[in-house]
Amino acid sequence: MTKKSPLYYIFAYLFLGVFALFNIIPIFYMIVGSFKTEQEYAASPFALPEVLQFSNYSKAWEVANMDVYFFNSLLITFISLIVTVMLGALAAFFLSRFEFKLRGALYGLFLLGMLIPIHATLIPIFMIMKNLSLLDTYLSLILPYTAFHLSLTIFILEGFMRSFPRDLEESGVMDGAGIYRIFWSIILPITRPAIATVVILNFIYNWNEYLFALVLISSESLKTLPLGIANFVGIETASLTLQMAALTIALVPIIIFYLLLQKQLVNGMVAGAVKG
Amino acid sequence: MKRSNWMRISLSLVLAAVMVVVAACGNSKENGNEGSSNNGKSASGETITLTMMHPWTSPNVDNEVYKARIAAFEEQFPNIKIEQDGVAAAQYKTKLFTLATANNLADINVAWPGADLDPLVKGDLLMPLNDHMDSWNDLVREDALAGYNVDGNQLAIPTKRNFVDIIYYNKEYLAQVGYNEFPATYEEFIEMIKKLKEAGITPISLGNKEKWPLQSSYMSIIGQRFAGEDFLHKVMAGEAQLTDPEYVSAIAVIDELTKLEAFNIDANNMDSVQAQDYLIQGKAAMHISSATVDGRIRTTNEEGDKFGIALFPSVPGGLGDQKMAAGVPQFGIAIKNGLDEKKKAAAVEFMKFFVNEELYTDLAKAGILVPANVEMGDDISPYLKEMYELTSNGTAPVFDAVINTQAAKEFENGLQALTVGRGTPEEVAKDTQELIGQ
Amino acid sequence: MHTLKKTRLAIFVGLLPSLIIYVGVAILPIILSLYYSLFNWDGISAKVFIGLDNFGDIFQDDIFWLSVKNNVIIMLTGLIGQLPLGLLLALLLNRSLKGNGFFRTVGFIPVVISSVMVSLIWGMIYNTEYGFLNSVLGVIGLEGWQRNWLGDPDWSMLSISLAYIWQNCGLYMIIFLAALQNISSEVNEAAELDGATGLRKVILITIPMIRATILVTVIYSISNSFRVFDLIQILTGGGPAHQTEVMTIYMYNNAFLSRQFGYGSAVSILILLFSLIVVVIANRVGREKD
Repeated sequence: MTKKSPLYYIFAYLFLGVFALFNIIPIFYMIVGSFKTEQEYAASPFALPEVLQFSNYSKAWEVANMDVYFFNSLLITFISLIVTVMLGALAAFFLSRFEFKLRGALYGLFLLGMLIPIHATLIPIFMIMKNLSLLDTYLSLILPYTAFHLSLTIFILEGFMRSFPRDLEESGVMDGAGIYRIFWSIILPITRPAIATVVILNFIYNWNEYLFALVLISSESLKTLPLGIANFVGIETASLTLQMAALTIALVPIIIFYLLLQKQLVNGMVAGAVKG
Repeated sequence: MKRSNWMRISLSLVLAAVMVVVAACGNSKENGNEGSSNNGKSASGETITLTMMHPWTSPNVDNEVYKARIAAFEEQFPNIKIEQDGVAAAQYKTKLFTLATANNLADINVAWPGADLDPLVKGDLLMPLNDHMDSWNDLVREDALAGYNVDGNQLAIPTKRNFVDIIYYNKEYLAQVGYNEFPATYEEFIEMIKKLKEAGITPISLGNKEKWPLQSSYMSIIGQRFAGEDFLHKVMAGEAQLTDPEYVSAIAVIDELTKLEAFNIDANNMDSVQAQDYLIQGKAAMHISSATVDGRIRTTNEEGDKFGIALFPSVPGGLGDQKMAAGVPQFGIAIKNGLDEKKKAAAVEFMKFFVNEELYTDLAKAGILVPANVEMGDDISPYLKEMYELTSNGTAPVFDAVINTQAAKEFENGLQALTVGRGTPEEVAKDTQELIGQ
Repeated sequence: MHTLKKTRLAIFVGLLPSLIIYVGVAILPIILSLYYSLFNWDGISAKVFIGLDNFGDIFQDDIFWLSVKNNVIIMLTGLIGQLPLGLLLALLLNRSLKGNGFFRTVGFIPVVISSVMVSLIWGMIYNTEYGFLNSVLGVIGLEGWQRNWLGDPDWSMLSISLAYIWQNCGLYMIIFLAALQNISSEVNEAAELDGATGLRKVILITIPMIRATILVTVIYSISNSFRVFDLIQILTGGGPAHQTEVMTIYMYNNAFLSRQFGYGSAVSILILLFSLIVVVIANRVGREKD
């Protein structure tokens, strides 16, 4: 790789530095805020806290009912995510690597899902879940999360798989491998960066989803984290510092998950090339 | 990795399914046994489960009182279980509305009066409490009960009284421009705003992003001052119009305050809580909001002494009682219509226990205004006492508790437009009037 | 080679589960919305069939067209702001730059952070009297540029757009990063042997190589812009006086706040229709050169 001029690096770091600053400030502000008393925050939102209020965290954990909600969120997020990505990858594989009747129509149908305004579906989905007797179950969330994110998953994965050279499967076919085997051991490994992308996107959407969880779940034992985080806000009152503590806690899994997947995101091709 | 995860998940799903089936079988067996010996009373050890949806999730003192009361009930009635669904207040009405569309309300609900009650009335979703009113007729103030009485049916019992129009003011700033008392007349009030402006102090902090503050906290009381406390009811009955000159003069107050630049510049991008903080931080001299926020501004604030409370001043030639405050009976407890006999009996039992004198006393002790005449005791905070006295001269209705939702939303948008110099008070009145009763 | 009967069965079996879940839970509600849109209905009382009257009323409402215009502004800023910025970040972070792991993570923060914090932070940046932006303008002697950023109807959409770019460019960054991984090092080396370096290489080699992904992000960005809701709801609530309303907020206000559920459903059908038209056009244009 050719060396870049020092000017390039100065420009690059300056740009990235400003960019990073803009992105870190909210987190920094949130974490500082989470250690203040409500009165300190109301009086001077920018000042550092006099005493670190660690108790905010235990109080926030309690008010947001995280003992229960945290686990529910993990469970629902992961099940939806796994189902969505598995089904989506398979669908994308067929849609991108095969010619068959209705292929275009099916692709268009799946794409439509990316355009549906979520709020409009709230009452219809409530009615559907009621008729299926699924209200107030994990499934009532897993199904919509899967259905709505299948579109994006298929869309991104299809775009990637389409760009692979056409003769990729041929070695597999010559070996007499079945279609599912080709999918599993040839296509899937080289799609890894894209899979990592959609896994992250799915994780974030599911982890933060609020509206469906609000209306479809009523039992305390099944509720998810975003519902707990909303617990801090009344109509004309709010416990912002406690809420910031809760938000900080809720952010931890996303960051960990992102860091874990980032490797896949960037090293995917190398691994894929070796296997392929 | 993935495969073993899959295994584990599907295995646990299968296990869960088996457990549900087993539990269901067990239940039905129990029910079967119970069925034969059941003679109407639920004393045989059978547990009745009632669901209850409420907005008491935030860590406020009043919410703690409500939840403690539910716990106390469960302790005293071990055979009735209350399964709570606590929904954050900001989204409570969205959920209530969605559940109502599918006729899927919880057994016990918390409801707001007026326009918010409308859909529940239209759908015939709440059980009239007329036969059980002995428990509450003497305890709860009549004017508070009236808010939940539709066509002679008492649909809920209010548990809290909120006043929406309290003016919180910074005593130091007012003294700085020569006022040791809050002005008593509108002219003086405007005069004071001009002086505050000259002194470089933002007169009023307003957080109108969510649009309800101008409608609820401002226009409920300004409208009452100019046009009288029964004006809004007359409008709904078709006996008066929002375009009547006295009401247009009321709306013109918002226009006048805007032209005086009485509000902070960012009024339309701030929420109500941020506007409270402006007052607390000394960035403004006044803030108008509900009695509930007294907790944040004075009670729990070390510098709470700095702030005083007042009501909107009297206006020249006003048709309303110039001492009233605008209030609304909140948190009405209601039972879902169409419960089976056993559940209904249990729900009424709950209502009688939950909404009784003890609840009101506990709330009053915690600094909450209640719609009942209960002893306050001597140890209540001086702030609450002051608030109680300030609001004891009669109650005017809140705008959106009387006017139908669609018109109220149009009104909110029109008022917000006035604050950015668009439209006129006449136009706001006309546009809103067109939607009355729709 | 892929036309055997067995293959067809495999395709059918592979697509069926996705289709069932997707049609049952995502498409069916839209069909129901289409049905509700033909009624005057508050969600609770009896429905009254009124044909296409809801649509007629919507087309005559100036506020609706204002919201359409705002959606177009959001879409354009998404396309000309988020995508190039996301691509630039991906290109910078794709090479072995010291600390690129850190920047990749940091770049992604706006995507994952709660809207509560987004609202607080941008509220502070844009605040007129005490805000960060106006303070900076004051310090560097540009007092004349100070604005009521979110409250002034001339500037509010632009201010929102800036926050929108900030919030989502990290998303496109990671999609582009993933795509850049698929350009093999041989292609890069070959390009460099031909003397293509720097910007020239990016334009001539890299961008054509990830064209498929760029099309994906263009369509994703368009679809996101038509569904934008939270960001505007928390920054301005659509105000002042409807000036920053987009179609989804218009729909939500009518369906859930004013409780005209039939009317709101009709708006949602129009959102779907409008975005579909734009996406189909973009797709045509993007695929044409193939």
